[in-house]
Amino acid sequence: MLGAVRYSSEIARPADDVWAMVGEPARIGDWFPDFASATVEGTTRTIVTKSGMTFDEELLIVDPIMRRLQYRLDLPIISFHRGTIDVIELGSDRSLVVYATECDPRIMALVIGAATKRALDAVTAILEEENHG
Amino acid sequence: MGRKILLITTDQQRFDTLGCNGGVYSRTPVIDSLAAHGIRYERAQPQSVVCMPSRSTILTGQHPSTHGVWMNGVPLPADAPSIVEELKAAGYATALIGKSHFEPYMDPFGVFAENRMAPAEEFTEDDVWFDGSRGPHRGFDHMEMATHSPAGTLHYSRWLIFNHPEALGGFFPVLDGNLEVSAATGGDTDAVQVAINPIDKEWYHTDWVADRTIDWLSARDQGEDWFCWMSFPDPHHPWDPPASELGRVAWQDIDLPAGYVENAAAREQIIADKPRHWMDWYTGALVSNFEAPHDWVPATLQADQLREITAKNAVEVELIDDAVGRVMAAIEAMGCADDVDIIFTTDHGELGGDFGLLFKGPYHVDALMRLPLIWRPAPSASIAPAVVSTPVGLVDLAPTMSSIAGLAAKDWMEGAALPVDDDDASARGFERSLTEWDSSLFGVEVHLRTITRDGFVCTIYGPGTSHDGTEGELYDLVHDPLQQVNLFNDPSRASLRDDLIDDLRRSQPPQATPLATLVAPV
Repeated sequence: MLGAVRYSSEIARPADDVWAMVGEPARIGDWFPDFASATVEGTTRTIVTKSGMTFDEELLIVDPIMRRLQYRLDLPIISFHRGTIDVIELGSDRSLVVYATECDPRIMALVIGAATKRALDAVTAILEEENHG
Repeated sequence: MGRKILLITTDQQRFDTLGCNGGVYSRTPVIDSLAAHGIRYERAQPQSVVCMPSRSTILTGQHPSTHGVWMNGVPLPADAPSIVEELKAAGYATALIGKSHFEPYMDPFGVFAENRMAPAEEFTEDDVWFDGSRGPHRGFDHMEMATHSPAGTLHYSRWLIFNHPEALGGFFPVLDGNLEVSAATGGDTDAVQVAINPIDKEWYHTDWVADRTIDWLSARDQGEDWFCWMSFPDPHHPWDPPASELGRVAWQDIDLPAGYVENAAAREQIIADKPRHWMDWYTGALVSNFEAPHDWVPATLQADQLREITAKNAVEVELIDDAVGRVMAAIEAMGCADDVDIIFTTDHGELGGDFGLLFKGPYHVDALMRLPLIWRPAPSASIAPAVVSTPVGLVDLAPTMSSIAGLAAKDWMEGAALPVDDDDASARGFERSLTEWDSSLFGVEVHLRTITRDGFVCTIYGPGTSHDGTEGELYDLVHDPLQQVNLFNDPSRASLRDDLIDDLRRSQPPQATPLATLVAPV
């Protein structure tokens, strides 16, 4: 059965600044706290987690006009996954980042979704700190 | 040298599974003896009927609304208040051996300390304490953890994998292929969550917890003060005790539990008188929480299946009683038994066939809310044995342990040291116990708030998937001990109901906001 979770964060930075970080697939290691590194080759992004696990993701959409990044995680215990990051302009210096996770089995949506929540908290802190710095 | 503390918890154990509480299925002479020489509480209640919030209440002395673990799968922050940090700061050696579950098990990124320790061959981690200082994780010098099966990354799993890998396959597989709680069946009657486990008794987690506890205690210096939380994963389902022990309780000889109404029509009439989610779960129309198998329909439970489950549960309880006896003998041999306080309890109950239901969920009735609780004070403290009928809660354990250690209760503790008898309870204002349920899982929401007072239990519902917020339950615990007659809408009880609701609303701590993130199902 499919499960879905969605988290969002308002960031006091222009949408283009936010997109420059979260919309660049290879930079996910800079802001996703559970990941140690990421490399991109074609539409495949390879993630190495801080706990030592390695897995591939298929990049489905990287759209800088819509500011949407969508990808699919490829793990044996997951029969379907889709992660979607949308950066929405709220004004000249504010953005809303929405990070949605859909997954089968649904239980994994909770676990992966929790990681995306940690990532949203982290990217918000990083970008707003840059703002103050 | 002060009093030492052995806190013994089990998981999901009903009040009526102990001989001293009138139980008839298990022989529990060791725990019964603790009760005979100590204080037995007849109305001890959890502040939540699921593991993580309830265990967090034991550790913090706070209600779930305050400590923030509002449902299973929400982690207790590492810097949450902890009675164990207080004991550690006072010079106690501190350990937790067995099931902790302050942090979720499903943790593929290794975010939580409980899941990191065993793979790193560690027994604690340095962490931030509630007061801002640093020390061992939650105050525990030593954590050696186990759960209901050898799945996961805990110490027991690794011990079994490395020492007895041939025993791994005998356990009931707790999760199915979709990572839901498994509805697989087994045993003689094809009962849900039952398996015949060929594991040697000595390798089963109950004996492992006792063995590791004895090892840790034996390493204590003479005169050292210590606190040990010995936490058995049983008799929580799955019901898969060692096959060699099944002869202790033959399921064919089991009388059905009093709370199980064998006539289906009569049973369904009782359920129909309760808020709607009761019947929805019974018929399989709605599974509101992760703790029960998603694909199991309670209405399909047969009498013989319940007999077999009850018998296997009773075997698990007997094994715990044996294990407690071994640990007590070890303490006796250490020569410090006169200075050891022993507290025996559990985190919450088990539906156990009441109303035709098993497992647990948003159902605030005695099956889940009336807990075994025994405090055998250190003999050197010269506290007389007693039976206390006044409501007390697990929220009272932290201040009790503070008191035993000669420490003042901290202002963040919301309970009070357990009364030593009913006069003491009356003098110190013990009157009510509060229990909460909140869950929000894949679009299904349930919210309950419950007060137990004056021989009644009253539950009100918040708006949710099955409720509009006007529903409720009111039971007379004296005249209706099985909670089969819902008096909530009985006009003759309206005044009592309104008084209890008013008291509940005044007494209930406000919910900490924002709600902490649900990071896993359990």
